Amino acid sequence: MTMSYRVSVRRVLPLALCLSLSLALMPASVVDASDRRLDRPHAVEDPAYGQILYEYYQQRYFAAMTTTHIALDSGALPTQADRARVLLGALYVAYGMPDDAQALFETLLAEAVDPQLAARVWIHLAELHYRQQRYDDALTLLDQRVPSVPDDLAEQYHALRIRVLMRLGRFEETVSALAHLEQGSRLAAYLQYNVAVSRINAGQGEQGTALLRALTTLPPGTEEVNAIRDKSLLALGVHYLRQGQPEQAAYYMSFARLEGPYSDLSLLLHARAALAQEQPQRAVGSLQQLTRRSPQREAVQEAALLLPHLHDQLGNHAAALQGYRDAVAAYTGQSEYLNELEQAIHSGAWFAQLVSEPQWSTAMDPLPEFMPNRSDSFPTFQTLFASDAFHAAWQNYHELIRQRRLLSSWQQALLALDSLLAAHQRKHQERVPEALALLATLDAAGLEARLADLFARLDAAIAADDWQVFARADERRLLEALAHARTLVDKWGERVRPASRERLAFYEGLLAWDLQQDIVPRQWQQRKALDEASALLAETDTLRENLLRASRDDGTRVLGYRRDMDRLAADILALDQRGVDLLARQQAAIEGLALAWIAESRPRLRIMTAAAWEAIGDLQERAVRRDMTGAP
Amino acid sequence: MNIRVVIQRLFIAALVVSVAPFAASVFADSSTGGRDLADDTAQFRRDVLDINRRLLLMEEELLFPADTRVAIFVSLDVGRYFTPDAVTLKLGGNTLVSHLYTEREIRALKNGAVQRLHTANVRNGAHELTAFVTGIGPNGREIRRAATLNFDKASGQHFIQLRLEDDAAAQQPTLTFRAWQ
Repeated sequence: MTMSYRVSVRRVLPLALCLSLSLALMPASVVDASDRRLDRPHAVEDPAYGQILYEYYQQRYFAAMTTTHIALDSGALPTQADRARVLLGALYVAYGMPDDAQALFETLLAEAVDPQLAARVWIHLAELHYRQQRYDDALTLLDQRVPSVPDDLAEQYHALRIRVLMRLGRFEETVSALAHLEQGSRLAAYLQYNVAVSRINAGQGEQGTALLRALTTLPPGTEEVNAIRDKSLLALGVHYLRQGQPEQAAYYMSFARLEGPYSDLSLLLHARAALAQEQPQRAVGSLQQLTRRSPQREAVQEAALLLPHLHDQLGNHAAALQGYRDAVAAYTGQSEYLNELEQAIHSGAWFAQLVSEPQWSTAMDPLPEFMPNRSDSFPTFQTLFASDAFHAAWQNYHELIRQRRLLSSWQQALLALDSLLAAHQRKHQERVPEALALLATLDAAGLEARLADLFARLDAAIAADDWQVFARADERRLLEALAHARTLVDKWGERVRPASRERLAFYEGLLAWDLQQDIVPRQWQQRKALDEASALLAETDTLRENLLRASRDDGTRVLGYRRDMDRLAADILALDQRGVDLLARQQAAIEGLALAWIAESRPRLRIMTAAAWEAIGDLQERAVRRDMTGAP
Repeated sequence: MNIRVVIQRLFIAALVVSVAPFAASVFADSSTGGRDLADDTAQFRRDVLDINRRLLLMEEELLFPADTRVAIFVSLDVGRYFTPDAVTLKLGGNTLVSHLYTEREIRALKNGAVQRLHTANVRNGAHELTAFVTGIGPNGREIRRAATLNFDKASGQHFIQLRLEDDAAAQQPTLTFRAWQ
């Protein structure tokens, strides 16, 4: 058995993984999107719904929730609004907003959603009941409201049902429920472990150990699988020691790894099993191995007392005396360390070291993993760090940090939007005078009056049968030439030859005939041209109205944006202040957990110190007696 | 206290194995520090969500007015014969956007999600949209595909879907555009 004294990363990593595993398991459908999907099959009809799924499958739950809200508000989900709402409810549950989830689910059910969707809602609602420790209600929903489980929710459904049955102590039913899960999966393994331990604790040792034995045969794999295997071996060891079967306990402990988060306890149990079998020599090795580890660890502290006791039993009084002295020194040192820790906790230094600088590539990424090796006090708080209460507080703290980061990035975004709006405003201010000048030019041109005059002249020409009005340019030139010729003929009188006079009359008649023969099409053509001009003028009027409205309304709209922006900026600032306050409260809550842990540790240390001193006194007394009696 | 008694008591304490801790949620809903803190935190999250919604709506209205807005979405149908690496969109010959896919994005697309690849302001009238997609096909072969869409932008927002589909017979991907409104 060789292992470095200091807490190595290799030993810390499995614990971190184990800690994160508990988070990864329960909301399986939410966290492990690669394996399971909440809404499969889910033919995407609305682009907005596909977009929501895009965020959701990338585990960007906050973005998914926001996208859903926007899509619902803007009516971008004409066909898949209910599906999106179910997803939103599930996200609320996972995001620590149970009241919002419950309200949403109840609304959905009241609206008589289709049966398939309703089944999903009931399952999510049952999950919510489970979290609220309303186990009977949860089971009733699962068993009575979900006639057929949607394929994609089957794993979530059965895992939830197993947890509920376990909480209700209905272990027999968990056997068949476990069969629904994929054998060998980490979820199945964890649930099986929990059922096993619950059965043992409920006095059903035989059934519990059978389940645990099956888990010990899991092939070595990921740290998560190895951790479940270690825990199962440990649970078997504990059970058999409790049952007074140390041989069995020793057997299972011999398979336990000397690495990993449970190796301390494994070594201790190995020693305990050897002692129970009255083989103290076999226990010495495990205890010596253990006492070389950090005295912050509870198992090491216990070994420090157990080892000299063992030496004493084996008759090695000198080693026993030295061992008890070492134990007292270790306990005193640990006690002083706890004092320092308390001070560090009160000053905030402990928390600062624990949190360090969370690493995110973007604010929307999942929360960073818990890295307990940041903290020198990791061995002292190992069990606390693994507790549900600590994890809840830790997750909440980091979620708050993330949201404050979001608020800060939004403040920057608002600045950019502000510049954009300012540019828009400037452009608007420049364009409005130009637009008004253009409108003034239009007004000055008097286009409408001129068009009306043209219509009037057309009507008059038609009424007067004035065909000359409808002459084209070339014809007009001919008319002018003939009129000029006629003036000359009239002026020159008899001097004009009759033939010329007749030719002029002929041309006049010919042109008049030419013009009059298609007078109707000519009139129609003219009216059509004026009608077209009239339509163009109407369009111009519309454009004029638009321009006027834009010059007037855009200003109002920009002002509206400005008001919204100011309100948003103020709200973000106020929210950020609340975030600061909440972060401080959440930090205080975590520090409170650590202080409570220290307070609980002290009596134990005091008792062990007193016991060590008493044992030293006893050893010395016996030595004096031996000296007096001359006994060896 | 006698050493034997202490050791025995410690022994009993060691014989307690608890059920593995199951966190209630990704973001625990029962916060340490009391119900008040949990309630305040939930309200804080609610307000942050609301602010985010308001901000995104305003951003979109300011940057992409509904009359000129064109949004281009990408979807991957099955993706058995193709895993996209990158996509480039060009409108009238000008590059609108180039995007490199991450593993997570690919996984999301393969699960049936739809990516809003780009939103642009486009004037009414005729336009030509071209998509170039590169990726990995069967046997790790690099595949490049292009597709073009000629469309008329009318008043109001316009949605276009770029679909990367599997052609099972040819074991090849195909690219198709479609209007999505």
